[in-house]
Amino acid sequence: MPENEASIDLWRNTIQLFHKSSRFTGPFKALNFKYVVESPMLTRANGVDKRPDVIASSESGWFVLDLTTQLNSKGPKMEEYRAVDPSYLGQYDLHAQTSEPDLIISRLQPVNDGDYCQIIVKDTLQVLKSQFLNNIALKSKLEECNGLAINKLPDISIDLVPELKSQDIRLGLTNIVLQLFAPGCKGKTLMEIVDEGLGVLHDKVSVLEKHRLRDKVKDQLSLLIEEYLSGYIVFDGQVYKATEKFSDHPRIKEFIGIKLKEWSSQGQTTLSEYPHFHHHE
Amino acid sequence: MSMVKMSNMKKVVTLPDLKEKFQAIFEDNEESLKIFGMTYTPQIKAYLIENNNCTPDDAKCPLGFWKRIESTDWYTNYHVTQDQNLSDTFFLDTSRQRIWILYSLLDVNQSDFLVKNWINNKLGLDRCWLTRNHLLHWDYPDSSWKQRGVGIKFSDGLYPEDEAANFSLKAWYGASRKIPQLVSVIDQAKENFAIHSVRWQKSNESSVTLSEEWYSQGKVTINRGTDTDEALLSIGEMATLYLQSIKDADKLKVSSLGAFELNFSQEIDINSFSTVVSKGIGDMRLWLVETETDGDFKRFKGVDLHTWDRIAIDVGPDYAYLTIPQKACVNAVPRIAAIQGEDNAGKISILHDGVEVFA
Repeated sequence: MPENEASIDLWRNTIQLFHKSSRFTGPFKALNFKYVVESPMLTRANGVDKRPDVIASSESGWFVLDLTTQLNSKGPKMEEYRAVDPSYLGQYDLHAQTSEPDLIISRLQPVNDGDYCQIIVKDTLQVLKSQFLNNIALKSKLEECNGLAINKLPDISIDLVPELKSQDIRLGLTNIVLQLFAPGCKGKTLMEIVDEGLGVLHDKVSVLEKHRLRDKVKDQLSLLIEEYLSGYIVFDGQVYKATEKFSDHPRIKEFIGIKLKEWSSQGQTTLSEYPHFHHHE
Repeated sequence: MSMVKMSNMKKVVTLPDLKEKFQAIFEDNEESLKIFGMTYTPQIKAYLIENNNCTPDDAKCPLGFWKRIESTDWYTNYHVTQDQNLSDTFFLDTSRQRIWILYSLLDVNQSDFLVKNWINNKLGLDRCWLTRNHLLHWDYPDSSWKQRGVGIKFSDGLYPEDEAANFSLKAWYGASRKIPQLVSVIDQAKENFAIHSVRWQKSNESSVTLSEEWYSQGKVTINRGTDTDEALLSIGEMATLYLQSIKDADKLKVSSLGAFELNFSQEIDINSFSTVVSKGIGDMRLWLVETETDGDFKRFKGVDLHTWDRIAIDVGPDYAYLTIPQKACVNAVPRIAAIQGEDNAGKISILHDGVEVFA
């Protein structure tokens, strides 16, 4: 996976560790950890704004969780999180704490981040360097869950996150694209599509990250319009919308589904791989 | 139902008028019925409607148009043609805002047809899809209600008609006195398939005061009643119960990124499921794209054609995870459970984080 490109699998498999189903109980859920995503906190000494990916707290303690696919060490960033002030936890209806947080990094593959606990959430849960956790109950539970299968966990209610790779962007856009065919749908602007895909994260990611995501979404939608659903979806300069070529017939729906599947399931794609592609404006 | 065109028939202009009309129907009193222009006794039916920010004016009326009566939040329909006067045949109680109660005095086929079209043609309206727990709501110790019968349905809708293991049963519990073996058959069917309807009777001392049949699509028919207020209260009770279930599920959806879990009593053929949903056909009305396969586990993303809200479904042989975006309506959860249960998955339980919801 190229550097700086996240995967929705990373988010799904990490978030589901806080949940439970009849077939799976996440280790964080087992210890009653409640969590919030991308919520601002301040540091103890100087009140610097920090926005970790996930903050979680339970009766046994609290931790800051960073999700990343970057191949460089997250050590320095994690050290900054150590100073996050727990007195703001109550603002998010999380269990009150007074101590420093435990620090955990979630990845799809091991990277040397230094002296921090690392969880690898690809197919099976791997727990590395748990000795750096202060919360004994958390340490024990994570060690117990080492090797737990996590390849069939439920999806989460976010379709896009910043820095997604192209294929994950296409997967995340699949259901938003289908919505364009709703009767009476006047279309969606690029930013509407991005915000809908981000879901609860839409007002939590930085403008810069959002713009980067917007540009990637634009490229993937242009590819879809030009190469896969030509004539069924157009961009009229303001919105992406369905054309009258669509009719509510099972064969048409099946065709569109097949094309979306082809589009979304192919490997990493850049526009330059399509020699006949004309950039859509 | 033919309603006589009577210029001097009493119109429903207040809530007491409406109750008087219903009472005349319960008492089957010819003179009272005539006052309201009814030549025979219609059956009172009600539909629980889930409403997403529609006003009655937005939503239009299943027949004619709505006129507010002189009681807050209540409406009656006005529909007069050259041949017939079908006014005051639909009544709408919007007092719960999110959950409306639509009363109907029309013949059941005509009524079901009009209500189905009304809901299907208005984005923002849906039925209330009653789960097994809702349908069995009055089944508790010392309840004044008695369960008198059950309807069970399994269409095996993922298979072609010739190969489908169709099952349909409607049983009145009185029959088990004649054939005792029926009890175990009904119990087994209830455990393996979805409950489509339940008949309840409410008794006062030794006499039956109210007899209702509740259906999973949020409909109730009143087969017998003695007191209008008692009947309206029972329907209101179910509407309030459903409203609370929706509010609880909404809270879970907003406070977490997690999924709702559906557990089936019947194993489903995942490939057949994929074929049906890829075309947007079948009673489930889901249009989905298969995005990932891992053995007997498939992930789908798409839209719920009832509302065109986005949805993600991960399906295993006897379970599904349903993920709904923050802005989408949680009514999809009981709807998919009810429809998929009766169509192909049998008895379904709905959980969130291991805790049963819509209970």
